[in-house]
Amino acid sequence: MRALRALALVAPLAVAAVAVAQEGADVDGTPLTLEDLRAHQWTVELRFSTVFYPNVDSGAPDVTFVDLNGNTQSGPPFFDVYGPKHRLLSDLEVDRDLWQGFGSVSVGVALGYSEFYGHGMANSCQLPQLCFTQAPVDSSFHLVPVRLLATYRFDYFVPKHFPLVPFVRVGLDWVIYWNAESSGQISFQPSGPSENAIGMVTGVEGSAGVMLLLDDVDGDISRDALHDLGISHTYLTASYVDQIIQNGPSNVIHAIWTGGGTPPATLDLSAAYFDFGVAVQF
Amino acid sequence: MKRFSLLFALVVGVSGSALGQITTATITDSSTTLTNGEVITTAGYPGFHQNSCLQGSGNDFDPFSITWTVQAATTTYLAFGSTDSSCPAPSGDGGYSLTVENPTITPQLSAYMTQLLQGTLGDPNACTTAGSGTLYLCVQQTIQPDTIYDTSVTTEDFAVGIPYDMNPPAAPTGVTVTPDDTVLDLSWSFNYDPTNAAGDNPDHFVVYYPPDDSLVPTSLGVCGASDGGVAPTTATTAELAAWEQATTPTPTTSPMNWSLGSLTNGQCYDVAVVAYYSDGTQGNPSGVYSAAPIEIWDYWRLYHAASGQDQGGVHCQSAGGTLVPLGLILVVLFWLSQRRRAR
Repeated sequence: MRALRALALVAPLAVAAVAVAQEGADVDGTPLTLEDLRAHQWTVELRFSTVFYPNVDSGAPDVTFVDLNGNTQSGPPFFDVYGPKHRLLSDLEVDRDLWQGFGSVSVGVALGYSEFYGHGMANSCQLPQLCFTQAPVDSSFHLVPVRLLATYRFDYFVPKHFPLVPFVRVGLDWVIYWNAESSGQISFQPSGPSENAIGMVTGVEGSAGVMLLLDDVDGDISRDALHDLGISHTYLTASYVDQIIQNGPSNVIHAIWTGGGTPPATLDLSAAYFDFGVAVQF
Repeated sequence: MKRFSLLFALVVGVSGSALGQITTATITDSSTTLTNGEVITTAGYPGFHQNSCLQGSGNDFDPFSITWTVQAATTTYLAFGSTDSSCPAPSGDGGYSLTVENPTITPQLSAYMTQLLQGTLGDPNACTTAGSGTLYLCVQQTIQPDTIYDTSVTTEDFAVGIPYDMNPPAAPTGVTVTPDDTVLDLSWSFNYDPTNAAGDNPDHFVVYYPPDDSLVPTSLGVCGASDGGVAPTTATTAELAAWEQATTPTPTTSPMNWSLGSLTNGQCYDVAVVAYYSDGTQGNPSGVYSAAPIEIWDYWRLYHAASGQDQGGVHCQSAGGTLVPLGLILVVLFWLSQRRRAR
């Protein structure tokens, strides 16, 4: 299923790539000029995903509740409060080239943000009995992923105006999260004095995707961007991201540090999603 | 109670036989300078309202004063109140007036705003019956001929306007009460002028709620007439006086959103909202609305109810687990960068 979704995403890019390649084909066979080479050291990429949903409910039992329309529903806690809808994840990444040869390798940092909005529940029974009813009181969950990324881009043929650049990326993730009440105050668990709903979870990620070179769509604009702004290349990007964010790296360190001690439990903020965006190289 | 005083400094200059112009008046409370014919329209003006007016007949209300410098001994000054900006001369007792003829020293004339309003309107109960409008403070100066050859009599008027509103603040409308955790979120609309030109914006609201309404809601967060609270949809001022009170900040827009906090979940509360002017003039109460705060279980609490164990915070702090990988990566990057430079 994931492969079909990937194919559906990449197919339009491939068609566009053929068209762009034909546009730039007139330079094939001629010696590369400095303008063709367009040296670059930095990449800035802005990405969005509309299908982001963390795997935060993994392993959680279902909780039954009555929704605002009076219908009885059942689901794990995050689903109950924030519903099934995917939300927008925005990401800004800045990369610095480390090596250029048969492709290029760069490292960079990325900062993202996503938020979920929903309704809290009211317990209409006396404790310890729980009878939840969805209340018209807002609640929000916020995520700020901070990532350290290493990217390999196969851009060897870009000077020859071949418009497709496959890439793979791996990284370490630090995801800051917090849950807020309608007033904006950080939620807390009344039974524990230190259990405020704000924290950080670490993880790893890998992604693969393709970049579509836009330089040859309009050569004049591309040359102006190069000479006036120093933009060497402009791309559209699409990728599939798989994140495992459940304190993996930290737990390894913790195990080494404590001689195999059990690491503390954490939210599972893992996610797998497609994203798309635009990248410019300087 | 916020008092206000108006200090008009009127400067008269005379040159030859020409009449000196009264140029400006200054209202001290708002530091506003008014010119002839101008009506105070400033956000700093607190307005002249019923409570100030009613207390104005006593000594604890600051009078506004009129002072001016005399430069011509042959000038007659007449100061009076008027509801007409053209300042027609008062007739009989129709207006409060002061007359100073041929002053030889700098006169200091004082008058209570209340007296001026009552005298101008000819109504001793003006503080409660005057409604709203603009009261003009008029100063008429007359220069008599100073030689037997100059028989002309010259007069000039100076007037500045002071808005007054003896009506109590209108009752808030569109009150909504939304239950939250130990809180009732309130919203209401009221007359609000962003410029506050007439000083008529409420200075604050008081939310009244009964001290002991230990009744349970008919359904989750919802209370009605059957909750045993205040049955009528309005409450009298006497009823309100016995209720708990919570004062809001000064509103900056309408509708106003405000939360009544520190309440007990699951208990009905009747609430009514009343506007106040800065001088303490109390408005009419809104209707009485009822609701009960509800204990909210947001995601974080549901997560723990479902046996979730994350306690927040930066995990593995003792081991530095979240920071060590970052440190290692940065060290490697630094090493790579140094190696590259060395080439």
